[in-house]
Amino acid sequence: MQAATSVTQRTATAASGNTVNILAFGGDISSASKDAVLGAFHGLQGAPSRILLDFTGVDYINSSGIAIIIQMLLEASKAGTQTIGIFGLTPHFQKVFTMVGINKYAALHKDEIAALAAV
Amino acid sequence: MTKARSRYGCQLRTLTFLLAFACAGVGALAQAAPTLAIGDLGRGAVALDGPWQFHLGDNPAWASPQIDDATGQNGWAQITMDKPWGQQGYRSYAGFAWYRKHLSVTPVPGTDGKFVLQLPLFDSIAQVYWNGILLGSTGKMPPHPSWPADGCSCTSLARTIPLGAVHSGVLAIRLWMNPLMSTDPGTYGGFTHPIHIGSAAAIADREHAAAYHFLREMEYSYALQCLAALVMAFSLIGWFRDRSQKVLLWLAVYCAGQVTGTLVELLGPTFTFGERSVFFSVADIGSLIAIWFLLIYLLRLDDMPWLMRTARWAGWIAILATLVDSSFYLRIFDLGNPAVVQAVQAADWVLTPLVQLCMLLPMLLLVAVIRRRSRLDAARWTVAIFAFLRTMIETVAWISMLGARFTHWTLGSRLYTPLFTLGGTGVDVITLVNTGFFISIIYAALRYSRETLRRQQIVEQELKSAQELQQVLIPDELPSLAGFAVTSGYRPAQEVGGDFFQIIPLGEPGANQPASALIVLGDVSGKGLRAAMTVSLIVGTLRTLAETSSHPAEILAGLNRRLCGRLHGGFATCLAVKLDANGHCTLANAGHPAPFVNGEEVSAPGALPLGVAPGTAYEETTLHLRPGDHFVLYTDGLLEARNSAGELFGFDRLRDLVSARPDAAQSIDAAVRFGQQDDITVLTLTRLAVGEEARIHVLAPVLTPA
Repeated sequence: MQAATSVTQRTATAASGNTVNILAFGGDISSASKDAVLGAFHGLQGAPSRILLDFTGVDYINSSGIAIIIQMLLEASKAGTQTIGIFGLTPHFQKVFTMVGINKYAALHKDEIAALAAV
Repeated sequence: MTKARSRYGCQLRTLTFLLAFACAGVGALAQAAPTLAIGDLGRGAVALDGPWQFHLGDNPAWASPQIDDATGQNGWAQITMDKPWGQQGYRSYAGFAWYRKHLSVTPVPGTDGKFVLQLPLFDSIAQVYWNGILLGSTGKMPPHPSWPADGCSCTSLARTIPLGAVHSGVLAIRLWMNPLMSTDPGTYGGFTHPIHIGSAAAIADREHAAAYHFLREMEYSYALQCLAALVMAFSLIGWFRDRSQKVLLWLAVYCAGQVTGTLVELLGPTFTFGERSVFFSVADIGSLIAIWFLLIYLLRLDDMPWLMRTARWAGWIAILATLVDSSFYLRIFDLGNPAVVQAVQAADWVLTPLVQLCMLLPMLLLVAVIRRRSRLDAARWTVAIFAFLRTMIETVAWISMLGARFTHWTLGSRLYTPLFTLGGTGVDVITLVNTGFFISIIYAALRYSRETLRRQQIVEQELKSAQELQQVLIPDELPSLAGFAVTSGYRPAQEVGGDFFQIIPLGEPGANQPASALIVLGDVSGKGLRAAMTVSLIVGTLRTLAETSSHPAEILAGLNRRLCGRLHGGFATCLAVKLDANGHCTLANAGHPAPFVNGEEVSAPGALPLGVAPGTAYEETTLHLRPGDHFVLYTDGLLEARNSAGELFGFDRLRDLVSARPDAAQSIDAAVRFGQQDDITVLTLTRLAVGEEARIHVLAPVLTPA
């Protein structure tokens, strides 16, 4: 039984003084999450170019969920105007994200403080 | 003075005469309560008809034979018992009232002179007094009332009260009618049929006759309910055999709602009237909700998520509102308290229209069908038309009854008036439409089940073809690898999975054993037929590429270029390994979990999976396997098995597992025991010492899910 995906958006100020948009995900991320995840990301177009993805509230990400995140990162990479960082992943999913090469498109941070210090 | 006295005397006489005349006039207006004389009572039952003294309100003294209950005196009036007080000048009255009758009874000589009263069924609570002495009651008076039907197995049967040996006196009946609710027309209250008096045997005969009459009236309804019980049983059996047949499930729920009424009747003495009201109301609303979902599936609207959500919400609202509304008849409210009564009435005025609003959902479904221009067969159109008629008639009836005591609309009650009699049963327009709807829905459900079965047979045939395809793609025989003992295992999570592996010999043609081999293991995102078709595409492409290149990175890049844009938003992780007989190993990884050697994870750089970005480059990693080294390749189904608490099998458990050097079957069993979620493929290769013979153990693909 998969939990529904929730996405909330907030802003924070990075150590550099720049405004950062944070998309906080919750529940499970799977094929059913496509609209929620990509919809939230597309909603940020025209917003500040620094985005952090918060996975603290995520319980599980399956292969289709990873495909959605990769799609999002490739879109951002293609646009070339957005810097994306990721935090809040469990050690298991940090390893999975590294395995599928996500770390080449978005820096992985331990927590929000580390992420805000880096962007 | 004398003259004056004489004049005063004359005036006094005139005044006395006028006073006497006035008194005589008042005496004529205050008509004494009549006495009903019944002679030779004993061999039959006699109706206590004719006028009864009647008084609104409540006073314990009114039980006494001593009071003056003459018509027009002290608020006493006369009404009859053949119709409710709401139709005899006391419209919209609810609460206490008293009926009194003066009787003079002469028993037939030779009988014991003991009589029994038979009270007809009515919706008020009554206490019966004879000459001021309480003889019995039907139900229990407020503040926490219980209704006459409590503990009665058949609501249409009258109640009897032993009267004993009586001659002349006053029969007084104290009544309480519950507060008016939103659909009460205000024309009810009190008796609608006269009380009967007679010997115990005569009253028993009347009861038997009434029971027979009741059963005759119920014949049509019982016949329909027997049919509903049969349909429920067959639908449930059908649904248990194939859980995807939602129509059968909802048909069973609908029939259960129809049958519940009779079951509760049979179990009547177990429940109070209030409890039965709750059961009836919930069964009714359950039946109604079942109709919504039946229509959704029959009219092929189940692919509209907003409609399903709306139906679910409306269902919960209707159930909750009905539960609260019907709980009024439970003995939990102090109905002697006007504030509580007002609160109950206010809640009823809010909840009843809310349920009525939910009842309009079939109209929304029909609008959805029309807007989609769905092509429906005749059976489905018949269901749709009957659903429309049923919803319209019931809605009109309820709206008409809602607040009828203010509007005086009678359409609602007229719709429940029998049009004709069928075998003793009065059949009204609502019963007619409901019967038509019931029959049409059974016919449509049968057709739906047949269609679904036929479609399922086609899908099963397609799946079988896909399984046969997969059996060709997942090798059940492996080529021997010089210098290695090999075990392999594969267990899909569904009938057709998305894992694949291939061992392609790279030796010189004609040689007994290849010098090296290309091992490719991967996982396509998603499951089922689509994943299997992608696997077939990958395996075909891989075998073509392997004819021109043996470099893992080149092969992955070639696969990636050919897969990009063809996986519909999905991807495939893949690990390609070139393994030489001397233990030299080159591997490249496209987003796949890294393999283990002797319980240690091989450090292989991560890269995007196949089919995501066309220009992705893959790096190669080399390692050397020594004799005795245990090399494990696997798919993420092993890593991401989840137990009932939601915990992942994870890297730590996997490390512990592979450290014990299990074969493929043992690894798969461990993950299945933990909680398989996805396809699992495991391949183990153990480097043999010089002189050891190559061994192969293949766990044949298990094409049935665990």
